[in-house]
Amino acid sequence: MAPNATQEKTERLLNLVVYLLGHKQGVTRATIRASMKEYQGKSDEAFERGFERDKTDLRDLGIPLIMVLSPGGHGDEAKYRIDRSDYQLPEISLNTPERAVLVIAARAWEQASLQSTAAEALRKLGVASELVDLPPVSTSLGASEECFPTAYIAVRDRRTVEFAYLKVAAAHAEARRVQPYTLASHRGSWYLIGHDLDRDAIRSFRLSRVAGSMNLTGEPGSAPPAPADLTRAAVLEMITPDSTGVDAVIRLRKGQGHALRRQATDVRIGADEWDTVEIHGVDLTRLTAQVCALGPVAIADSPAELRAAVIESLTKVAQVHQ
Amino acid sequence: MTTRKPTNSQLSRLLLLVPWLAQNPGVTAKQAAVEFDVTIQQIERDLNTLIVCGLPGGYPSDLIDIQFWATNEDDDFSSSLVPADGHIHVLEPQSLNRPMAFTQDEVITLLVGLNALKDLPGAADSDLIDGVIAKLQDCAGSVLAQAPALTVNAGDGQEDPAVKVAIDQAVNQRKQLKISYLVPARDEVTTRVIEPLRVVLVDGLTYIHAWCLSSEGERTFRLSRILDAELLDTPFTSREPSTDSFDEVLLNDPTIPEVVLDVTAAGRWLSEYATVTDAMDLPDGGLRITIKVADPRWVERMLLQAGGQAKVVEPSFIGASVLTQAQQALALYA
Repeated sequence: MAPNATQEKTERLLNLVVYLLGHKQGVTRATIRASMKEYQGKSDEAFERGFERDKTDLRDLGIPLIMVLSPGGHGDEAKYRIDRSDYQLPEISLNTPERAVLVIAARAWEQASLQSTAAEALRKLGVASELVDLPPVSTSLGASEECFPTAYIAVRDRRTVEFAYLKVAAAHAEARRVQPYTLASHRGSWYLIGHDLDRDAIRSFRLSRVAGSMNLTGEPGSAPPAPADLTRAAVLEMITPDSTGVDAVIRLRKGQGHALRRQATDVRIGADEWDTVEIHGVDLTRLTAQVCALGPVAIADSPAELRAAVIESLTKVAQVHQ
Repeated sequence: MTTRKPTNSQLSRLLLLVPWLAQNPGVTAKQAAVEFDVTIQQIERDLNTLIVCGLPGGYPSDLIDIQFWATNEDDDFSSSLVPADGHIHVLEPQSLNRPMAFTQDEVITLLVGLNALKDLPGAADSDLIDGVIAKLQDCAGSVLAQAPALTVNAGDGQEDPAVKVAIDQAVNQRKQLKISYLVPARDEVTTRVIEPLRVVLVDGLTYIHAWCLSSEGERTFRLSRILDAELLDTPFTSREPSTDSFDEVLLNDPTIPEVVLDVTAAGRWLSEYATVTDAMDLPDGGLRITIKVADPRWVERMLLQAGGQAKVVEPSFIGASVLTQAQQALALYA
């Protein structure tokens, strides 16, 4: 479209919105044609074509333009209407501290594809982010994973996705088909939680381990909604290391092993160079890693599987560095 | 981000610009341009479009009326001209006094962002944030009913609530804080006096960026590693926080040495836990990565717990140290 035509069209659509918002009862097609100078002097066919396209454009922008038939009336009597209550954001009053937290909340998406969406929401609230004094706090929700936008749409529109996934400690990516339930973030990484169709089970997928692109399949709404028992707690349990686990006894050299001492429920000061700590309910894999990381500062005494895991792991570390 | 393509982004902006200007009386075209992320010229074109639009009829009272004042007190204006530094006043918005309702995506982004702030010291008390969340939910109405809930898990579960309270007070009252700080890489606990300048939530963890009186420099502390914090009665030595973002501080420090590691195919995930500056595939499916490490002891600990899935290429002293520590540890079980 030529610049002038684009400009004319923008003005015509804006005038149509103002006109329909200003007439609660609605306006008939004939009245619109007669009142708005933009539609005057056109053939019936040109008007019909133009008006249909304008209606579509407004609806594509999310403007709730509806047509209502008057009771017992004919098609010609149909009225076009934009209900204010459907169109507009309800009144909301926000004080200065409330505006400030909203600005910070919107900026949390600064690295992500949702950045412009958050900025638009702030503008709708009338918050001028540059004019607000902010507390010295900043947050980042990340979401810079390449497939985040697709995963988000999949969850929002309930569409099945297909992608190649590289599992932890797997050498090759495997094809997955997933009906998405929700997205969750832990330690700055986003996970897609959904029903894995080939395994017929709920699984979580770390988006950074999706190899290549994620593809939407199926129509919006075609995948089932998330099951009711998929609570926040259930979601977190899927993506965080197991918090219920083994009870362990570990010896630590005096004045060292602070991270493990912090988790201890009991610390016994030894007469030699070792103190003994007891740690309850920790994940075996995680604890093995923590003990190994300390090298000759820690000895895993029990349980036997922890002791064995530490010895096996450190033996491999020594082998590759020989 | 939406599947819907904006067919007319100027129209969307115009419908929002009128209520936004009405809510921010006296702003300049320059300020509006910043907030709408467009050029000043675009805002000027937008304003010139708006003032010729309105209800059919063509009388002046039918049109959207926007005026531009030379100063905020002065009503000496010219409505056909948009000076970039003129103060904009909407006198008659016609029916565009309110913006369009929230889309699902808009309300979700704000709610998720607010929830992430809830547990953060220095931001605002959680009652205030809960209040804003409730207002948004009221405002959003039915679009929220079908909206997916996104979960953000902030922190590593080891943050001390009493430490959070002390930090919150230090930030708000601008008073010094005495902390005990755990440094796992060196396996030591140090005592420092700090002036918290900024609270940062990044990668799911909370950090306190502070002026550290003990080391006479800006330092960043992970909240979960502050074992104890005591609010002192001493006010901050007047100091403005540096404007560098946290990532910039971390990545642009030229004194941070680089370490090259080979990880196996099964150990590729290890690279997710480091700041990787370079990566190259190896023929056996593994990966050769270059990482930035502030303290070599950090990478030694990482290798000791990697179960042989990662090894040092260079510098060789790190590999030698890892081998010695693993052998010494194994000797304890002999």
